[in-house]
Amino acid sequence: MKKYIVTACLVLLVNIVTAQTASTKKTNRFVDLALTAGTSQGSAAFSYVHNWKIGKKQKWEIGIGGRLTSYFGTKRDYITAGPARLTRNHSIPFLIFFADQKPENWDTLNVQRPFTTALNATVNIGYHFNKKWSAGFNIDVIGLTLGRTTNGILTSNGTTRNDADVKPSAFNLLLTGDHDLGSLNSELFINYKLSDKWSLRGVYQFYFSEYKTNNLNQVASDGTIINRFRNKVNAFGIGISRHF
Amino acid sequence: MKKHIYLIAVILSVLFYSCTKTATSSDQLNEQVGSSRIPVTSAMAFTSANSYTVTGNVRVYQKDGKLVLALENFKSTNGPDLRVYISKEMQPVNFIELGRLRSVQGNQLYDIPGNPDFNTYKFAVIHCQQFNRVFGFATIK
Repeated sequence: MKKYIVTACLVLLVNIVTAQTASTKKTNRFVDLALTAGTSQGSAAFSYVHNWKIGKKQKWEIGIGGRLTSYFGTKRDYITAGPARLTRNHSIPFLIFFADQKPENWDTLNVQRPFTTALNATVNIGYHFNKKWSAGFNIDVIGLTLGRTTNGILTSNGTTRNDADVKPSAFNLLLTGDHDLGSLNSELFINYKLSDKWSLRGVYQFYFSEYKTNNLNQVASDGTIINRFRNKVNAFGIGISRHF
Repeated sequence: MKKHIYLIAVILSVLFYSCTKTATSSDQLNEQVGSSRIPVTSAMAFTSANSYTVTGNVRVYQKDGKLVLALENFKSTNGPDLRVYISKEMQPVNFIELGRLRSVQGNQLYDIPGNPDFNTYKFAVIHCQQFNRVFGFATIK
């Protein structure tokens, strides 16, 4: 009788282990630390990613996650962040990427010491070329930003003024292009698997950082009062991931 | 694995090799307006602010039809991003930037663009722009 019980237990154990292995193969879960640097600016992003593998060969994966991005810099130019009807030739969502810019409506806020930390939900997509190499893209969708109040030099309508209290926009929302609100991170990356647990990523980052003026505003030609200014950061960096 | 960690450390070091804060020059300058100068305002002494020390005088001259702000016998505490403004306020909000402070000591000249009204722009200010700190100011009159 004992033999049967032991055998049954072993079979059950094998089944559980096999099921778990099969289950983990269907997902790709990892935490990641990515660091990027550009001229007088940089960022550190810590993220959790939960992707589901799709397709017959399971080369594609798609998923969601969360990302904490800290951005810091010195004397960075932020330009008018919208409304999109003033900064682009047309403001149709998604197609706005292809719309011509209207720099004549841009003013510049030179934020002296930007430092923001944004917590956002992300969506992710990836493709596995082979066991070692993969590539992917991820983008922040919605979240919140905290950050340091600093001073900014607003150059608007031919005058230069100092706003002592510019602060990061608190609410982040992906609405495409110049419709976007707040601080949003996105990455295009190539991933190299060092081992079963660890992998290394080469990252191209496109980051929207947004500050609001407090005491001074831009007044657009149609009378619209604007207090949101955006720095579009292009930077390269690396990331290291720990897989589960 | 060790190899990988070293590799990552090297890449990170290269990525985050940051520039150091550059202080303003401390060369003794001796820029002179010349004999054709016409004083537009009196020589007014700097007042130090925010526990920094700024001494010397400020005076506006007209030379060849242009306005020039002269810092005379000037000396200031050093800082990373010092600028010279003429400003409507002691703590600048509305200001005209005349340029980076070229040195923390000596006689210096800064061109004033346009023809500002010194009843409105009544302060010369030494301002650390990056940290929004006034080092010193003088009344222009």
